[in-house]
Amino acid sequence: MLEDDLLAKVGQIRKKGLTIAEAVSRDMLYRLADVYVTDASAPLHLVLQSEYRTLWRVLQAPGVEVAHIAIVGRNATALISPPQGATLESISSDGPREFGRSDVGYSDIFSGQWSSDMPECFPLPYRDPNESWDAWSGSAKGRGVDRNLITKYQLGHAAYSAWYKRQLGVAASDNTVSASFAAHVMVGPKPSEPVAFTTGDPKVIAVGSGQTAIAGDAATISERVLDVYESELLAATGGDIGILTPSVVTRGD
Amino acid sequence: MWRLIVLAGVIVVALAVAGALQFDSLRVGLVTNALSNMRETTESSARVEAAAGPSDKVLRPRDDRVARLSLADRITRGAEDIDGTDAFRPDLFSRNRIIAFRARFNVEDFLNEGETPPAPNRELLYFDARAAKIAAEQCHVIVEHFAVKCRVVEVAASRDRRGDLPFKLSATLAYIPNYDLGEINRKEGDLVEASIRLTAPGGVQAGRPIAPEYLERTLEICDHLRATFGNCVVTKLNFAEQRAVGGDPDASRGAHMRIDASFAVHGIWPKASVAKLEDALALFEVEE
Repeated sequence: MLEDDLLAKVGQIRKKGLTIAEAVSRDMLYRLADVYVTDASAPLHLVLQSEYRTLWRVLQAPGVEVAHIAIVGRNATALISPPQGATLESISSDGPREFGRSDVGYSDIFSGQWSSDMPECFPLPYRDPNESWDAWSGSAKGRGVDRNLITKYQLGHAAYSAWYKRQLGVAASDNTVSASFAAHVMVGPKPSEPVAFTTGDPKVIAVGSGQTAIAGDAATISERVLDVYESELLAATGGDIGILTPSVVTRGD
Repeated sequence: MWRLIVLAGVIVVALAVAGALQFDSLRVGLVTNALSNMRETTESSARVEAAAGPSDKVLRPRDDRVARLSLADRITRGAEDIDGTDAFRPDLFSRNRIIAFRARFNVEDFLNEGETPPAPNRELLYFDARAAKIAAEQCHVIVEHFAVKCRVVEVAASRDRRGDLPFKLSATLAYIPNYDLGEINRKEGDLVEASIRLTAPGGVQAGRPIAPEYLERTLEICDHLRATFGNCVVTKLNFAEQRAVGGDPDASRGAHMRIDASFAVHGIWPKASVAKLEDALALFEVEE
């Protein structure tokens, strides 16, 4: 369960007058990204980075050893069927908001104030823009929207890269396979003949601390998700969700 | 020898396309930032307008300086469900008749008595969930001194990493006045508006988000304007907690409050003009 999602629900209930069920029905599904690993040259450390909610699945070719997997994401991400024997690590900016969130440091970065006061933790995986981006040529021509986007990503990537290097000792661009909206990615040499990829236990989903994974049929998931939201929002409001939409206060009340 | 492989497989470029894509029957769910409640505008000047009776005539100030003084319209533009824009309607809430405040809090300030503090990653959620209630509590102060009714229009809760009061609340309240608005000829005339700072340049020591003595002070000023122009409405009162100027920038305790009030009067030029309204308000300027 993510604080961001809960905050979004609070906003929707307060501003749009939705019930919890209505707010929750604007669901929070994950996208699946399969990572086919064929590099058997050495035990691997994989760093899986995503700007969006992603359910990662690592599939190993014969002889591949995955020693460690770090998941980095703006939103919470999860790993299904983690490889046996691999240690796991999740770094998300969904945690306490002093860590690179928009209200703390983020705006400073994009207003150019960050150079001497870079956030200590900035796990927001901004890609480094290049000429293959649609906005690149527009930016070069001085189109404001494109220039803003490119600048935002350049500054974001600089901040991310600085944090990343402090964390891992290498640049964020080193050994990076980067793709937009890929559902299947291969890491390593292309096999010369078909191989059987394996995963860990398919019933295991690894999530970061403070997150909850719910699996089941659609009805079960809906029910469980609603239960979680209700209990979280009840606690957050001190037991009365009605305080999200307070009544008019009249003199003499 | 370890080998580090980094995969940035699904970092995306454009937010707009994310919701439409499908992958293996899983769809992307975008997170909406709940803290975007407070809308921003890039307009260079805000509008000041009021419905003028049955014809719904929109009144605009003669002087652009006045428009720049009023932030009311900008701040409350997100409040679609507010009744209207007419600051002189005595029976309806108006987006041009508001009281705004900005204040900072500790965790214990917004917990109920004896309540267990939330985990750090739930603190902002707790604060945000209680923000409207905190704002509504200020409505009780307002109806006691100033209004018949008061309602919360908008709240925005956020963290403030500087200082030892880590949670910041900005709130906008609309009110139906308890004071006399005076006589208005809706068939002719203009609405003029001007602002005055009620606190000395250094501000006053921050205390309660809305200090009753400044509500009373505002009413005194409006009484004076009504005697001069025949009518008066307090279009905006703004209580803004600020860190001390020249002091320790990391210290929120000891923060100062700047309080500004905007008043509008309605009348026929030149009797009702910006210059005359500003002259009238000058009597109430606070010296250092």
